[in-house]
Amino acid sequence: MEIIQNEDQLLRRVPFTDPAYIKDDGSLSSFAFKPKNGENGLSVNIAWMTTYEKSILDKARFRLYSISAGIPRSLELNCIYDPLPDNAAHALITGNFTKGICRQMASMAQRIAYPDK
Amino acid sequence: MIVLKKQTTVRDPLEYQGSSEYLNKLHRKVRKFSGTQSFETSTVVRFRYAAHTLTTSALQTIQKLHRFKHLNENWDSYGADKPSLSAIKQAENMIRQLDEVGIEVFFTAPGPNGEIVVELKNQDRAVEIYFYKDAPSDYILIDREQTIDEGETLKRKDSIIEFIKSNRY
Repeated sequence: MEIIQNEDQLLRRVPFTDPAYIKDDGSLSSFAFKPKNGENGLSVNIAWMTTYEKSILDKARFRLYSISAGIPRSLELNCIYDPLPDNAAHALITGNFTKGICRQMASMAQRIAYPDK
Repeated sequence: MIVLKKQTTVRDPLEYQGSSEYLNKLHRKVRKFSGTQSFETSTVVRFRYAAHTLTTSALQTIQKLHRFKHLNENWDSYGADKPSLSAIKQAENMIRQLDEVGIEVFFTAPGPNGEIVVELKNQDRAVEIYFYKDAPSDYILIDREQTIDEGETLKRKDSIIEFIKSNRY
């Protein structure tokens, strides 16, 4: 049985000051869902296993976006539970991150109203 | 100021058979400044573009680019590399070129691998142009959130400009 269900929300932290991944029209940059080269995948937190406060790390610099696990899976990516010693909620999105796929995920991610409303 | 296009060395007008009209035209443009009767062989004619004054928008975007130079490793909290100075410079050059043809940059940001994106937008159309430290620049064209083309920027620059300026591709 999959630990991560399709309806589980995955949280991704994005810079929002300078530089900001949130554009003037409120949309999110593709870079928010682009992993670093050589990494095992894109790091996210499984929302039900953590809190917004822990996931955001620094409220002055970041904001949170969520995406349901079903979305990357529909784009032929994988969602893998990958707990870390200091983060039991950690997961990885893995697969072939084309520019188009990064942009699609960014367009489907939802901004979390934290700490702002 | 003469606004011409490229550097050329006139060695022997006979070498330019079929281009004598071009040389005559060129000489007419230059004559009133140079006072010469005709081009001598081995005349070197240097052409310069009239300087373009950047728009406020382009200036602000370039200033933003320059601020990226101050980012440290792991600036995104996920281990991102420092933005590449080479990528920043390439992005700046592109912004200047786009500004000269009246195209405003919609968005720019550094990526996790030191790359820079310059994004253009026109209603339902968008272009993302990527600049890297060690690889040729590439782009994707987006129409109504679907990627419809991608490739190397240098080879398709005119098409990119045409795409973002027009409503038909």
